Parts: sequence; structure tokens; C-alpha cells
Amino acid sequence: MKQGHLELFYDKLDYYHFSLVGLAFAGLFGYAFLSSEHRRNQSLKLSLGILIVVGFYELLAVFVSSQKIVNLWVFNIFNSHVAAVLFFLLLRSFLKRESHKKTVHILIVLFLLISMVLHLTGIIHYNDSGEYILFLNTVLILGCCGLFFIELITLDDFLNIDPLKEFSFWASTAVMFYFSSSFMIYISYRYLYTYHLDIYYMVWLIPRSMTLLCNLLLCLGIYSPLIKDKYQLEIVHV
Amino acid sequence: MSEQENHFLLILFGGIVFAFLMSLFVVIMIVLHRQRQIQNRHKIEHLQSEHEKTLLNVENEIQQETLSQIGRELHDNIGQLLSLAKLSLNSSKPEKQAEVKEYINDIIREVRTLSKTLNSDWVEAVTLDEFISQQLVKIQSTGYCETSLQSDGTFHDLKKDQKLVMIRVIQESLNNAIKHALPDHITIKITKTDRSRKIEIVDDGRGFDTSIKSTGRGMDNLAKRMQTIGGKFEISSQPGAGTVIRLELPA
Repeated sequence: MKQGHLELFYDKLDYYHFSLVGLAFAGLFGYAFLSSEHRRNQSLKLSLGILIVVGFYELLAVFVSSQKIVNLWVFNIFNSHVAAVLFFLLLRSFLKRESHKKTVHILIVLFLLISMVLHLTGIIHYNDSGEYILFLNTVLILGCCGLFFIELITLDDFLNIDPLKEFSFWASTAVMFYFSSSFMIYISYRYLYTYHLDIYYMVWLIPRSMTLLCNLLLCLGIYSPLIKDKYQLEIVHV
Repeated sequence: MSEQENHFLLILFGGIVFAFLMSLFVVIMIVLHRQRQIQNRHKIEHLQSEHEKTLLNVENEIQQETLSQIGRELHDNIGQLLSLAKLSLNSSKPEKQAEVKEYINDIIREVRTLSKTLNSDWVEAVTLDEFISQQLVKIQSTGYCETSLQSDGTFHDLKKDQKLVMIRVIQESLNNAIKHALPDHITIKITKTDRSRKIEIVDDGRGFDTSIKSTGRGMDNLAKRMQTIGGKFEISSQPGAGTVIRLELPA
């Protein structure tokens, strides 16, 4: 690697990347101290997976960009596919009805199949701005969030809980906010970048802030059982 | 205002409206959840009061039944024995004196048996199998019909309130069978599956058409009582083909 590229890589790193990598390490650290029972918890495993994947691809994107290579494929593969599937699975882990869980599985397979067909037929390219795939995974993930909220207001299993103290509720809400707000901004990126660069830089902060908030919440979810065990204080129930 | 400013304001306004709508959605979800919780709480309170009322009724009915039974026993059994003892006392023959002794011993035994029935904790002392067995022996001894019991002892560990209701429902079902079905045979089968414990009361009496709504509320009451202890009540019958009553409790 050339010295100039490495310097560019360091130059491009900012608070956003450091925060995401920090959250990934914090999540990993917290997870290592969890009891074996909590480690088996599907939601916590997936939360950690998301933290690591997001931290990794954001760094990779900066690295690829510092090599003067277009880095859109990093986001298309890791953000639009790997992280999206992890979010699908996270939402699935919150669901109680078997039929809803099966629906999420079907949605994942459907999403991957459509994506594969679109890529293979050349309708979309792995290194484009990825609006179609983003549209698809956002719609499907919002559908999964919908399934969770339907269960929340119809299933008896949720009657004895306070949703404001449930990790599943906050995580679903955060995922819903993150995907819907980010989607609106992602699809307008090309237009804004071409015609209104200053507005582009302004709205660019929104998905970044949403990603940070979402990852912070997932990290808090991992630490919640530890805080409960140590200080008898339950911030969110996992 | 420049075009750029217009665009910016549009995006800003759109973003605020969007965030507001999303937040509203989440708030509505929480409100709906809270409302459901309140409704559920009311439902549970209602069920609890129904349960308590049912238990009270069942206890009263069992007391009434016990008092009638004691009345019958005093009149038909102990009264007769006392009369015989009195008659024998009038005689001075030594064998009659021995008979009086025998009568008094019988009376003491009968009074002891009766006093056991009067004990309020008899429900706790007796198992459901024992109770059913006693009822069937009583029915058979009166000559109404033949009876049999097949049990795997699955109802040995019932709670007192569940046992009270089950006793009353079984008593009522047997009374109905004797009164209305005129069977030659009544069989009670007690079995257990993975999910439930079942009692089947089968008679070979004249049966009835279950599709015709009964004017009384007896069956509805029995079903409701079973519901209050988390159980189920089912009845299947056909004219001329006997009746099967199924009482089910979760395992």
C-alpha cells in the first residue's frame, strides 16, 4: 500500500467511523462478559453481528475509497445485503408466532432471490448507487417491523410486559426509523449530489446519525443483562 | 427565496412531517397496547370474581347436598335403628337386650360415618377417585344401574377449588344420567394425555339430540364452572345411543 493512500485513509476517518468501530469493540467486550444463558440469546448474538458488520464495512468503504476505487460495492454487499439479512433475523428473533417467523424466512429468501435475479440479468450493477435493492430491503424490513407491532397489540404473550422497557420494542422502533429515514435519503443521493451538493452534505448526516443511534441501542441491549446483574437496574429487558 | 432554499425547506418540512408520523405510529402502538392491558386486567378481575362466585355456589350446593343426605340417613337409617332399639328395650328377654346392644353399636357406627361427611375438610381428605368410587357404589347399591370406574389416578393432585368444582360437576352429571337417561350401565373413565387430563362419564341410557337447545341452563352452568377452573366441558349424545360427558383439565 502506498504511503499517500494510507494517509488518505487516516484523513477520511472521522468521529462516525471511530464511533462505529468503538461500538463494535464495546459490543464484543460486553458479549464476552455475558452469562452463557444470555450468550445463547438470539437477539444479542444478532445485535453483536450487526455491530461488527457495520463497523467492518464502514472501515472497508473508507479503505477502498482511499485506494481511489469506487466503494459503492462495499455498501451494496455489506449494507444492503449482509446487514439487511442480519436485521431481518433480528426482527425475526423478536417474533413469537411461528407463522410470522416463517414469513420472515420467506421474505429473506425472496429478497436474496430478487437481488440475485436483478444482478444476473444486469438490471442493476453491484457497483451502482443501489436504490432498487435499498427500496426492496427497506419495504421488506418495514413489513417485518409491522409484524412485530401487530404481535405487540394482538398477542397475549405481550400483555404482561411494558413495551417501553423491552429491548425488542426499542430495537424494532430504531430499525423502523433507521430504514425508513435512511431510505428516503439514499434514493435522493444521486439527485442531490448532482444538483444540490450543499443540501446533500446536510442530509448525509441523517443516515449517519440514525446508524449511530441504532448501533448504540444494540450495544446497550448487549450491556443490559450485565448492568442488571451488577447494579440490579434493568434499563431494557432482553 | 431562491430555488435552493425552497428545496431545502421542502426537505426539512418533509423530514419533520415524516418523523412526526413515525413517532405518532409508535405512540399509537403503545396506547393500543396499554388499552389492551387495561381490558385484559378488567377481564381477569371479572373472571376472578366469577371464579369466586362459582366456588361459593359450589360449596353451598355441596353443603345442601350433604344436609339432605344427612336428613335421609337420619330418617331412613339411624331413625329406624333407634326405633328398633326402643322396641327391643321394651322386652325383658336377654336375647333382646343383646340385640339392643347390637343396634346401639350400629347406630354409633352410622353416626361416625355421618360425622365424617359433616367435616368441612372432607373435600381435602378425599381424592377425586375415592369420591367417584363412593358415588358409583351408592348408585349401584340403590339399584338404579350397574357402574364401573377405570382410572389411571391422574387426578390425585388437584387443588382444592378445582376438586370442589369437579366433584360438583361429576355429581350433577351423574344425577342427570340417573334422572333423565335411565341407563343400565354408567362407566367413568379417567385418562391422561400429554396435554390434558380427562374424565369421561359414559352411560348407555336413552340419550338425546344435542342440536335441540335445552330450556334449562344446567349444561351451560356445568360448562361455565369447568371454564372457571381452566377446564372444558363437552357433551355428545344421540337419541337411543347413550351420552358421553367429557371433563378436561390441562395436564
